[in-house]
Amino acid sequence: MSTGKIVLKEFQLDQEPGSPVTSKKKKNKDKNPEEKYAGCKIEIINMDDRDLEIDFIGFHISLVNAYRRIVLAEVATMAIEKVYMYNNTSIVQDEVLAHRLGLVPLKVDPRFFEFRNKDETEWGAQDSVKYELKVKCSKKPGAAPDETDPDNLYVNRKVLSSSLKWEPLGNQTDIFQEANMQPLHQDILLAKMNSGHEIILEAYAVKGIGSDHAKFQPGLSWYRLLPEIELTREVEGEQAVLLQKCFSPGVIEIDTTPEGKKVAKVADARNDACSRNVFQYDSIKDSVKLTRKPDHVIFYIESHSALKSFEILEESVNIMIGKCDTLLAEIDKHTDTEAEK
Amino acid sequence: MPVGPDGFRVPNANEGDSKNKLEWLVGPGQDEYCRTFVINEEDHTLGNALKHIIVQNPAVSFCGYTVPHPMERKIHVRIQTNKVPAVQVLRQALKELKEQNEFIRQMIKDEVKRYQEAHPEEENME
Repeated sequence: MSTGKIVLKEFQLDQEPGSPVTSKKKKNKDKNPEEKYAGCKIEIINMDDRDLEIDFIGFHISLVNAYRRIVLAEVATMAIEKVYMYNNTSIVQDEVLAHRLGLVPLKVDPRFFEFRNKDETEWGAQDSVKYELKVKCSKKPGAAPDETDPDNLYVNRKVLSSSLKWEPLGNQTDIFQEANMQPLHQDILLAKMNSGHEIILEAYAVKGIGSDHAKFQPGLSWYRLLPEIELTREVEGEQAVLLQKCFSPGVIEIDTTPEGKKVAKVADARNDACSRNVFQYDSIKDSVKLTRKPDHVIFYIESHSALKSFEILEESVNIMIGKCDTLLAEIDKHTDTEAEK
Repeated sequence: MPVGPDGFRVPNANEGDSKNKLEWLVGPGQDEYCRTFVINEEDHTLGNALKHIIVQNPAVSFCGYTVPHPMERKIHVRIQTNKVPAVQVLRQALKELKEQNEFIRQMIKDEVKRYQEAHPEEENME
């Protein structure tokens, strides 16, 4: 299959013919999905709760880009939105402290919550999570007289995210456990205090999306096309070492032939950063053909929220389906009213 | 990109939003077969994916989308066809997009399951 690879030349990008990027007409109606997407594949390369590296093979880039945009802007998470400051005698101003609280990622699973209504005046159990922060800094009684480190001189010198205590609203204790409601990281520094300083506040977290504020983003997401490197001639000796230096580590390997000749070979083009450094050297620039495969997308998600990396991806696919559903219902509404006329 | 005017919330479907989600322009250059649809509260996320699918339909002679103004949350989708009503094309494309997404959802589910079974030790780490 001619896939229309993107060729990275010294001064320009070229497109080989038969590109899947410029959409071509298809005549495969009435096929069932299994046949229609026969050439499509999804493969997880690496996954844990935080990170995901997944390959989308055979899909159009517009779809993958839609998922990326949805992850960044539309997948909902919980974050602190309102802070009632009762006392704050620390040197961190109220608004700065409130902003810092907003940025703290929470372990709270957003799928158990609803979006808060705009006219709502009460903090309901179904749409908000309450936290309390009460810290007072004082001199440590047993500190050594020659102690100069403020961390040892004072109690509560540092206010960390672990001091945010969850206060259940309504029936939340029946549904949630405290371990699942705390900040995701216990060691986020919120403020530093000196003896006599005190912070007392109440904070409320709500469900929100990234296009409103970046604090609601569930994680990061990006993608790149699979790079391919082809050696068009044998590269040996000094040139092989030079060639290896032109690419990311592990991309080019140097083999030693039985005659003691050093020969470069492509080990793993996937990890290449596509720097095109090789075109700096006239001696080796004719030896390589650098291409990227437009229908093979390497997609990354890095979660920093309650959702696991793959859950973020699943959520974004669901949101895309939701968009289609809303519009389909809307079209039906229009066609129904027209039929009545 | 559906953020309500008051910030942190998405306006939900049963809320009386004065604007329709889907409208179309009227005037010269607009008829049953050549139509510019206005989709409110959407952006490149849906526009680009949808355009790509509509263009693949052999009955369509032209399809393009634009964001008329970056501060207004809406897109214009222009569909020109030969002999098939533009609404029908849009409807078909949305169905196709939905089907594709449902297929991907299933594929991801299967692949996650496969990966977790192949790497059970990482599951236990948390």
